[in-house]
Amino acid sequence: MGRRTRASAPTRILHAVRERAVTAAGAVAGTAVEPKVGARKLVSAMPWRGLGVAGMAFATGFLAGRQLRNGLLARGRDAGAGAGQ
Amino acid sequence: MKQIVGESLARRLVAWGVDTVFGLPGDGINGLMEGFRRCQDEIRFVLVHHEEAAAFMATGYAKATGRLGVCAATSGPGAIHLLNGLYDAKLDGVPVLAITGMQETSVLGTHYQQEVHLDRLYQDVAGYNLMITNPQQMPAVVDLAVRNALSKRTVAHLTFPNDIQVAPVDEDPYRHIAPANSPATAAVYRPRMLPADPEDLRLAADVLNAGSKPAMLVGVGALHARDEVLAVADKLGAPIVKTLPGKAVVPDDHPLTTGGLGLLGTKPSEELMEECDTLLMVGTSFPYTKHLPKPGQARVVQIDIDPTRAGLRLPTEAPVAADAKLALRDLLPLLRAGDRSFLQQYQSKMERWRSDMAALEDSRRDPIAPQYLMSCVDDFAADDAILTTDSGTIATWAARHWTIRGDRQFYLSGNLATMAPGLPYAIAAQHAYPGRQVIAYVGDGGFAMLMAEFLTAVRHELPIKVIVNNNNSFGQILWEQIILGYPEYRVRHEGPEGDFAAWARACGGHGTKVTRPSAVAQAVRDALAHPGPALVDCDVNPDEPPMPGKVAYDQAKHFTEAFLRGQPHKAATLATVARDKINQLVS
Repeated sequence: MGRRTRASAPTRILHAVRERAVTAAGAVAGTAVEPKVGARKLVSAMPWRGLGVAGMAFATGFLAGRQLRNGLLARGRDAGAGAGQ
Repeated sequence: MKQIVGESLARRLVAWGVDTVFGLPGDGINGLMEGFRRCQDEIRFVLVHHEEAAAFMATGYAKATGRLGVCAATSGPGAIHLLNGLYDAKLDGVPVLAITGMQETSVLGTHYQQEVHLDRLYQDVAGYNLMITNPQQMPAVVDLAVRNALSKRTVAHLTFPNDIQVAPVDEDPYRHIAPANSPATAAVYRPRMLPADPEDLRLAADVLNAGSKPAMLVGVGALHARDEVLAVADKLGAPIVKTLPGKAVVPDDHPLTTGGLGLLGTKPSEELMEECDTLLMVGTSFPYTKHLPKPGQARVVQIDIDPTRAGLRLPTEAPVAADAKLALRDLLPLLRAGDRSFLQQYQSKMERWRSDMAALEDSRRDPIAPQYLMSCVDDFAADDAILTTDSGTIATWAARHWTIRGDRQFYLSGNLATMAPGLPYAIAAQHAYPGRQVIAYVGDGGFAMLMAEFLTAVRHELPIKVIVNNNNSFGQILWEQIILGYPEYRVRHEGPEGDFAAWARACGGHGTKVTRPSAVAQAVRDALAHPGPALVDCDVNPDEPPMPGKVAYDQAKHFTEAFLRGQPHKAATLATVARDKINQLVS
């Protein structure tokens, strides 16, 4: 029995990138002959849930950061005010 | 001389009107062969080279004549060889009786040589299936077998042990226990010409009269109803789409038809199925549902002789279980004349499609375009010619470039879609119609499987014509692999190419090898004019794609992916596709 060899990481990455490129080129060719189907497939292939989660995470982080920053600034202002008096 | 069971079988077949049996003898049916010998003035035994061909011949005979086809093979291997041809009969719904031999009853169950229990093996393929174990069963079981084959439009199988075959037919070896004798039956059968129920027809008419975009889809069950199909389509203003086995239902150049459907069909037929709001299906169980209207898109009426098939593929509002001819005749007066604008729209589309197809019949292409080869056969063949074909790319070229006109017929393996029936079908059709031109248009792959049968044609002095569309590959599989998204693999033959014309000449027939486009037309003309069996082996472009009528997203996507993943012969294929497009644009 021969040993199974495992491709090196760069080779695997290259393969994966090439497969993605082949699929993308195929999708373009498919869209060229059936634009409506292509557009529908593109829309359905988008990672809407992932984008939604990322958007929610971003919004939450953004708001939380702003609250934090506002709080700190407020404390700074209070501290400054106190020092100045 | 005492009448033996083998003779009783042959005489009963004569009583049923059987005049031709296709087969190959063996030590398992010598008793049956003696029966055929004794009836040789009434039954012609067509000796073949392979039992599969015998079964195809019986099937082709049944398709071409509407009568019972009969084939015979020896026990064990011979009977096993029959099976593929018999499944062709079963799946396409034609009546065939298969007669086989079995080892003698005294050794059954003892692991004897060639002890293959054919009654069990044939359980799936045969609608009537019996091993004869007592001469007293004759001839009642023959009558039942034939009636079953005819009424169910399927395969019937009788297997005769060796000792029974030669037993005197009046022998009664056992004591009777049951209060019955073997039934004394007669060789009689009344075919059903089932008229439609008037209520069913009224409902069908209501559905059809309410539609504004009607279409018809007709299949092999409407082959005998050309006039009625045309009359109904004309009244409704409905374009007629034809399945491939139903290609001869209406002429291809008729203004009411948009031709075939599916991968081998036309673009207008595809668009019609996507657009119609009412569909009248007649005598078809077209299996490729992706090419039918989406469920809910169209209101469906289906006429079929078999009640289990009316409503098989689509939600059907008005199923009509009846003979197509009778049902359409009775439906016609109930229909209101429809608006013709929808029909006219599709007539314009068909003009463009016909022009596109004619553009591909380019005589200057080198390598030779298979479409051009088929068009030459089409141009020079008689108006009552019979064309048989194999499955593969040839089916596409025949579907699009063989024109049904006059009394032309067309036969292929519609549902089993097997390779190799083209040549045996042609031999059978020529036996049935000695005066008609019969042409087998086959690929090199299918022809090579059963090419010994060309010798059968020579030996039986059958003037069949064989056109070999030689792409030196399994062309359809090649394109199917590509459309799957992967490069082709092991579909092209390597090494020396066979010369089938030399084989034809070696058999004593006429054979011409064609490699140049300029020689195609003359070679086809010469073959068709030759008084005996003739063959043209024509090298065609293996990189000519049998494009679907309407290319879909997934097909284009996978085609591109296969090319980017290392499809060989890229340049030749792309050049061919480009030339096809250019030809169509400038036509």
